[in-house]
Amino acid sequence: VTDDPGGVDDAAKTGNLSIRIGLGWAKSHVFTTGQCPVMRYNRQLMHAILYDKFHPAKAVNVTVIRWTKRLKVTRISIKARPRSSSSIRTGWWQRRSVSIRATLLAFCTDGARILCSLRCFARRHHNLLALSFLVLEIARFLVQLLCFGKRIRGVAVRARGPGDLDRILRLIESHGASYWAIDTIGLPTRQPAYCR
Amino acid sequence: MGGWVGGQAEYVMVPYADFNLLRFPDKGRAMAKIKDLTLLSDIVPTGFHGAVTAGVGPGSIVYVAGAGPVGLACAVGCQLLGAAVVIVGDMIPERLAQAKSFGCEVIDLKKDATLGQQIEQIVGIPEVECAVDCVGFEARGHGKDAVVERPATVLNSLMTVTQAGGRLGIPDFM
Repeated sequence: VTDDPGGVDDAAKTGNLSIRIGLGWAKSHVFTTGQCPVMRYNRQLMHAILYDKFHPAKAVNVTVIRWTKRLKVTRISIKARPRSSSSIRTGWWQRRSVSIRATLLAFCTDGARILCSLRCFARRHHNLLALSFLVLEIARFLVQLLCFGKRIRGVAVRARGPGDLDRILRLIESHGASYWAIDTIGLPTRQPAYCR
Repeated sequence: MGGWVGGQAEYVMVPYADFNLLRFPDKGRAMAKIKDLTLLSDIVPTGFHGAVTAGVGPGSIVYVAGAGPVGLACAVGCQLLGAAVVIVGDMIPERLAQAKSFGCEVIDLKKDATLGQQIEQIVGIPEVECAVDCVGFEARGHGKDAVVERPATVLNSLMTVTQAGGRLGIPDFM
């Protein structure tokens, strides 16, 4: 998690950051960082929202995007001609490599996930939940295997410009090619991008 | 996170749901405010955590770096905690307008004036009591340097403008 392969300098790539810590030392600053302990706040914030004291959605400009099946997704296909996917402005050869790479990556991540569930089941959680996860993962994997040929053509991403394509690829690499949406918060500079 | 990927997907299977999930007391009331409540899963607690760890309290003067979703959630969280002035810095005018819309002071980081000078114009002194970094690793330089990514820039500038003994919150998000 802490590495950033796409980082700008060598330090960032390995999760390092060269800050002026001497300045912080001289001013006796206190730094706190790390992941947010959501459960420390969510109940209280929920009450603040329900009793009308806190309106984050307005501040963050939440817009609801209705998911219409397939409509918003540009299907990328090996056989597709360049004109068929209007929102991607890269060469057709690049689009092909996207599909194949994405599919292979999806297989790798799914395999890893199965191993993970298996280990989870074997090691300490001898309960029904872990078992059901395991079964679910294996079923998913089998389904993917069955429609392999289809998938290679069917990895559908929607990107705006070549930079986005790279980002989506990176996301597939880390999250697998299942349904997800990048940040659909309605800020004008962030376009929602979907992947399946 | 925690070995379970895809938490922002349309449907999520939650392990240990009896512990991990937050139960709304009343469906009708919850659905009326569902846009607000949805944010409780991620960005609002993250921003709020930044505000809490930066020591924001009644009457604080806070600088929030970055007006993305987390930055805005942090700013509104600072207001909830009773901050006197919430200053939000970003480079994108639409985001700054959004921050202004709910009563924040804004700083345009595209300008060449230093952060301290711009803060001085708002509160009279070039210092704030608390600062929160809601930018993350893709930070860019300030003014003329705004084109290249400079991950350390934000933290360095926050240290410059935070008063001695002040706190800096750096909530995690990628």
